[in-house]
Amino acid sequence: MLRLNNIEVTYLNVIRVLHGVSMEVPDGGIVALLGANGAGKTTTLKAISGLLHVEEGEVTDGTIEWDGERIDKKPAQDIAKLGIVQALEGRRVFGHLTTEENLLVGAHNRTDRAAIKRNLEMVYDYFPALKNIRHNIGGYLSGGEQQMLVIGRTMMAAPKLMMLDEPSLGLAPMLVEEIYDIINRFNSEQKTSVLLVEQNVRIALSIAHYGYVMENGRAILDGPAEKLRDNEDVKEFYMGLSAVGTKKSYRKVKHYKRHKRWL
Amino acid sequence: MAELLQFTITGVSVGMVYALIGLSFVLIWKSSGVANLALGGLVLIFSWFTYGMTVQVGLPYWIALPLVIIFALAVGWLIERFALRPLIAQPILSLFIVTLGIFYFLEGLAVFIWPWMVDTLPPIFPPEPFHIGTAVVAQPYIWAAVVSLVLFGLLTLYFRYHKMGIAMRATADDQFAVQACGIPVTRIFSTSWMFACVVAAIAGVLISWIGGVSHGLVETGVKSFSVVILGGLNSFLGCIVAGPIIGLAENLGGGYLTPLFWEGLEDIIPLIIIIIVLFIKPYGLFGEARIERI
Amino acid sequence: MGLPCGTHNYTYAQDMAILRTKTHWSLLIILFILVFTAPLYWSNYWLSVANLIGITVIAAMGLNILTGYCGQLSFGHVGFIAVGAYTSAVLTGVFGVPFLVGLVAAGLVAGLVGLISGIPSLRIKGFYLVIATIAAQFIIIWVINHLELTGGSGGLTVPYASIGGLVLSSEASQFYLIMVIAVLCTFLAKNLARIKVGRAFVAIRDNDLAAKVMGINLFPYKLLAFFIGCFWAGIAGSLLAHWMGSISPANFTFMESLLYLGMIVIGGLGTTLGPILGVIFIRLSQQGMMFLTPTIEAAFPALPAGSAGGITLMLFGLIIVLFLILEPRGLAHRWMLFKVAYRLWPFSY
Repeated sequence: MLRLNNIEVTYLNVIRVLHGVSMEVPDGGIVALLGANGAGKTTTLKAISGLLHVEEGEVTDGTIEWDGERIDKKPAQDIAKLGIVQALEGRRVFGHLTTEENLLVGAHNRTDRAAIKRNLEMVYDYFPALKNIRHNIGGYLSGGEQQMLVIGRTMMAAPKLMMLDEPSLGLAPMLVEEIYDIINRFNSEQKTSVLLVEQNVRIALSIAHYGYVMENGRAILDGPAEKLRDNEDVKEFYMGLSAVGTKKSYRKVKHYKRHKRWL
Repeated sequence: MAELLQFTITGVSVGMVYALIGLSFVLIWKSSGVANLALGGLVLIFSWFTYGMTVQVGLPYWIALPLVIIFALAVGWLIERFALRPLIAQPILSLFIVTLGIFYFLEGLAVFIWPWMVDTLPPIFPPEPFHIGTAVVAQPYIWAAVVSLVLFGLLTLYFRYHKMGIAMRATADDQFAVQACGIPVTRIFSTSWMFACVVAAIAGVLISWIGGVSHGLVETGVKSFSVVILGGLNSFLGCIVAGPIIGLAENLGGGYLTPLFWEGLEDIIPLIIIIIVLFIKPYGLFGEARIERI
Repeated sequence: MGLPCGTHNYTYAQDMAILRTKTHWSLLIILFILVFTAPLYWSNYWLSVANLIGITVIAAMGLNILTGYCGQLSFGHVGFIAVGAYTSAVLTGVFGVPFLVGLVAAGLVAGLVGLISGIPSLRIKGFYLVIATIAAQFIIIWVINHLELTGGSGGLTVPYASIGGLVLSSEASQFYLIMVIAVLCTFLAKNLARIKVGRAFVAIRDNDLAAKVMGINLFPYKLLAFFIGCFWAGIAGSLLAHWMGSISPANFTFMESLLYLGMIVIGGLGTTLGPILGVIFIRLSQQGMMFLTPTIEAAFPALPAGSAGGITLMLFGLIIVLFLILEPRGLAHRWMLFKVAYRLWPFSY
């Protein structure tokens, strides 16, 4: 189980980006991290993965715990060896390697050749489209294929916690549905926890069990997915479904415009 | 005609040693995208170390050569550990300049221990030259070519098929994503620098057998730039092909064109050739094109 | 980040201003007063150090425009400095042309040679382009070595600069000339960053494919970057030639080109303050090394001859490495962070 305890993250020692974020990802669960751009979602994922130092950032306060053990001071490769693997945002495939080589890179830390082979077959099973393009050069794949490749690469590491940063970015809606079905399947079949950062609130909450909403570096709202879906604040500010245009009774009309009470 | 054959064979052999130095450069470029400006300094320090072991300490080659290899491994590990590891994911030009600083350090070290000396290594090959056709070629040339080819073969196979080789190519593409995959980027850099130093050491020893040890060996670093750019920055095959071309151009140009035109033309002929080739193939003869998507 | 607490920009002019607040203006005026009264109380030795720094700053500023702003790696900058130096030396020494004409001609000729060296940038990109600049360096030096006009490898003596009837033969008089030109160069470079051309350069550096798609014609802008960068190298070369009194190809080595690159990286790429800081750092380190060598030789007489030079070279390399490990983005970046931190101190974040 992953637990973030009130972490603060600062870049370059002068820009504080996260002001005390706490969250929990239970074993086998899917947790969605929602919020507008610039809320600090990607920074949270980088903090968990240990990749902040690359951009001169650091966790200045609070702790990150995995199964009770502190991981916020560990180097990135140790965190990945613990089973926490991230698929970075922006479809970062290795451009000059073939699809299959890309997937094999994901399994680099595993030593059992037979298990890796089985895992490769499993990934091709989840993503049949990848099997057809297994010898194509990574840099020339289409956006959808690259996103599938990146998620497949994460699966190849046999993760205990899979973190996905905006998997639906720039993809056709049908493909987004398909990818989310696969993520859901992967979670239920392999019992891998998933931490999902997403802009597309509808699709994220459709498979998540729990959700956190972040804004300005704080987690301002959290709750089970069904509750979030029906939450008025989420609907108005992140899904754009305001009360304007729907039929209202006088009893339901509010005298003030809905505003963000947490700011 | 005998002269032509002579020039060709010596040119190609020397070119093979340039190619070997180029292999060292490509090794580091292929796995981290860093241009190793310290290459000339590395070749220098390893050549002088060999000299120190064989001439000053008087060890026989079968002890000295393994010692040089161990020294090379140590130097590679030290450079990566203390100079490059702190700079992971920093702007690439800063890494280039760090290698420049290392170059000054190594050159200074060589000057400090062996101040401005010129000397030769004790011979390892029999003095009778090879007779190829009508050409008379001293043995070190041919052996240099053979060793270069063998190393080239080994490195190519490693990078194509070995797990670590694939991880190295991935690191050159996207250092950040590789860290997110959990690959120990530090181990990759360490390995590539250690290999690169060993290759540079072998090249240094070979070139010293051909031409003696001196502080002019730093020039080989600059030559290797020409080789790797002509061949393609991330191609081992490119090195092995480009090296002999440059060696040949130097020798033939020096031998034939110089008396006709200006002296010293052999220094710039390779550069002119490279620019012409680059107009036709902008990524070198065998280089991989940059994959660009907006 | 970037402005003191409480200052906000309300007009475009304020947004684009180089000197935004009264404090900025006063500090700059104080700096000018300090610099331009320096010859009154500095010794000749320090004036000569300052002159070298001034000349190097002009050349480094040019390289910064080419490499820092436009992203075209150049490993041959010293070759273009040599072109400027020899142009000015030959014109004033052999043909008796007035110094100012020689100065401008040096800049133009070097700029033109730079432009020609930049032609490969049409097809070649990234690190492959450095071979064109390396080739330029070596070919230029080769030509200088083999041309009778330039005195071959023996070198050329250069007459003193003279403006009007005034002969600039002392360190102090050359100090004023060099500083005025250096200030002008810095001002022009800073302005370049603010206008359309400068923005096009940065666009090309960051993503040239996207820049092309947006309508920035790559080739002319790249050539312009080479021209401007090498123009300033030429000016610096001319000043260098008249300051040194005699020049030879040995003064313009490939290693020096790499060192120039080191100067702008250590100072901070792509900023106007960067080259100034980087040049001061490296040149002062070199002066320090020059002092250190005889001191070490005196302290350890048992060392074989020439060894001490090795130690100082090792130290120099070590300084560069350590410095970049501490601040890989250069002195200017560190200075910017410091300013932001102290402006909000003690609530830095």
